[in-house]
Amino acid sequence: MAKTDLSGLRRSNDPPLLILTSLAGGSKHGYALSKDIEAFAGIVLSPGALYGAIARLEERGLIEALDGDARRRPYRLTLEGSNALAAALRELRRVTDVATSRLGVAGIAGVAGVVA
Amino acid sequence: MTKPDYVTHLRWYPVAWRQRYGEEFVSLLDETYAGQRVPLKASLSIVRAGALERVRDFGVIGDGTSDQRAITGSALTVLMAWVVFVVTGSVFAKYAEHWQWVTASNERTLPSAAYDAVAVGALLGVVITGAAALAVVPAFVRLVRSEGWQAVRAPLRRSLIAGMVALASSGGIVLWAHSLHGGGAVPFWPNRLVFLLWFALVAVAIFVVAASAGTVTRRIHLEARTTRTLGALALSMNVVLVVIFAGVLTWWGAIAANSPWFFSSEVMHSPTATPGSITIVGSTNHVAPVLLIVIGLAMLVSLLAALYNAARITTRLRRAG
Repeated sequence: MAKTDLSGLRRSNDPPLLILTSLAGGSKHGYALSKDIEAFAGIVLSPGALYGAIARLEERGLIEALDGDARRRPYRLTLEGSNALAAALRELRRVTDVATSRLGVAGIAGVAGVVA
Repeated sequence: MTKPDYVTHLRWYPVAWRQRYGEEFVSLLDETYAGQRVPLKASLSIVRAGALERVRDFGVIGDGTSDQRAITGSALTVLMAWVVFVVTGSVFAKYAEHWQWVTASNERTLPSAAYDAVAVGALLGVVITGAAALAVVPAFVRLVRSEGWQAVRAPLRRSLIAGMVALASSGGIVLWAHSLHGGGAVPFWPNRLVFLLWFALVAVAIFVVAASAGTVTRRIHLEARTTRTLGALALSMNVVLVVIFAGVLTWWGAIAANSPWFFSSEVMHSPTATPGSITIVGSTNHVAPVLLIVIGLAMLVSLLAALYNAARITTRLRRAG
């Protein structure tokens, strides 16, 4: 099986990963994407970064534009996009699993308590 | 307060991008900033993103572009590197002329070979550029026949104006320089300033012509064979650029080692200097003049860009079979 191209999907704050994650919850247009990402990740993507990532994802066939008003054109995840997102999450989970096991449940709670 | 016109932010992006994403991008700005000005940080981000899209549109970066577009874009980048070499090489040639005057005959072999290598490289570069121009002529004619002059009028007009400005200013500077010979002593700095202005004008004109050639080439549909030819010519140009750069460095090193007094401005501008008349002026530390450092750095950056694009061309040529 061909290895999934994970460029732009390796870090949790990579715009392409954030966009795919947002679209996994349903199709959205640019502004809705921006607001959703801000809500679930606390990251405000600049318009330049958002549309740069949208263009690359569309070019790679990971998302596609739906018919609609040209000013508020919605995008949705393609099958390739879903697979790429799943592969990226597996990669991220591998690191978080190791970190979690090394830190221990009590450790995580302690850090959370300190942060809180 | 007047409502900001968000459409103006699209000017940073290439035409194709504007056609595809322009409306929704403006709508995003409208909804995000709701009639307020776009903050500076976001504006800078748009400028950066637009510039990246332009570079991508040129075919210089990005894996998503077609092989034909990538090869053509990389070949045009090599052309721009060559233009930088033409400009900096001309300055080098002017700077280095008369080096024999201050170098002992038994120490001229290496710098002479290096200087000749630069000259031969320049000649080969001109030949390669001419061959590339000839290679795209049939496709250019096809474009004009199918879409009319309208398709290429703007870049051609820019080239024509730039060429005429360069020619007129060159003619003017020749006449002006000729008049100086009969005029007696003239202050040194104003002369240099006029020369620098003329040179800057010609350099800009060369860049305008090259950029216009790039614009036209990207509009042309090139056959696979022509694309391969352009790719091969760009690879050959890389060899030429390496030779010229190595020649300049070798000449510089040889003169610095054997005739460092050449870099002394007093010797260079001596009105009485004639071949063989200067033997020793004294030791000097000016073996790294600012001008040569600038030339060397400009050549190095251009060469690295050209080599990167050569690697890209090689990969795409292999992929295209």
